[in-house]
Amino acid sequence: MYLAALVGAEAFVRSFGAFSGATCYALGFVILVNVTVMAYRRFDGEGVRWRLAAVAAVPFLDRLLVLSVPPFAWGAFEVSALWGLPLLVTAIAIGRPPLVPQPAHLLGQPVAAAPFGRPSRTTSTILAVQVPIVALCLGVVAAASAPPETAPIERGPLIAVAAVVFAFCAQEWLYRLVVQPVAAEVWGDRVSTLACSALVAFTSVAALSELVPIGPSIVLLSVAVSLLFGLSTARGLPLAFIVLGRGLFTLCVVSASVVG
Amino acid sequence: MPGTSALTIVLETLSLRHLSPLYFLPLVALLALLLERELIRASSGPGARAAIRILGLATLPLLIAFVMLVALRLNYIFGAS
Repeated sequence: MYLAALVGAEAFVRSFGAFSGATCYALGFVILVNVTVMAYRRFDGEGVRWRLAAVAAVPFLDRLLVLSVPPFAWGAFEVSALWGLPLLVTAIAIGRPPLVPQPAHLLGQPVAAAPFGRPSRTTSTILAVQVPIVALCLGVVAAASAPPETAPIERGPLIAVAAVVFAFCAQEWLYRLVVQPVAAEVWGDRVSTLACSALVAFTSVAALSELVPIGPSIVLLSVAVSLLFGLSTARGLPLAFIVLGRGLFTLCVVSASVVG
Repeated sequence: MPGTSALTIVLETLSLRHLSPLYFLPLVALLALLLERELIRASSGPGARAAIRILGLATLPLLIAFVMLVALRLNYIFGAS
């Protein structure tokens, strides 16, 4: 039902325009906040149901903000990337107890339990460094396979690219810091990795499609890179490298449109 | 100006007619949650404090989106003049 609501709202965006879709997302967000309140009161703040309801509202909020935060003008150029700021504040506000059980360092290890085996410190550092490098490589491939149509961000100033990259980094951080650890508590690490990565891939591709032309190759590579970040989070690698990886991937995809 | 209502003057001054209704959706959601928060505060039943806290966290990003809308609008008005 949750997935149907999410897909249905996105179908509204594509079929009936941004206003109808954003209305669906706003409605879904308000409903899920109320479900969170009811679950919290019913179970007296115990258990994981209210936490799950709370993080389930995050993709609705994310899409609502992406669709409805106005673009900022920089000279004659307009770019819609200011939605990263409220998402960043959301991550800071809810990424701590009681929603996220253990006090997570803002850019440190997201989950204390390492489901796929805790690597040693050296192995962990090597793996962590590999994450942004692999993301950069995937981003270069995505940029090379971008559709040739004229992009709306063409000849945009550097600050526009920086704002877009920042917004996508904030989005990734929110999901990996808050959503994945809570989902891991309920469904275990494998399912939570897959579910959270699917959500991030969905929201990031939907947000990217507002800026650059999206082809099947970019969708596939976005799914791959989201899965990579999901596995890295589940393995307990520092979030700084994951966020850096998202930034590099987005920079490649957006830069391809600016240059092309 | 005769025949010009105060609302029209406000709309023209703030250039609100050029704004898409889409931008006001977070504001509608924000108002709905704030209203609910005040209703819960007034009832002050069991668990009201926690509910108010959750609603407060939920309204935070919407509040920031609204502040950004106002800031962009002011920038547009003063930038244009």
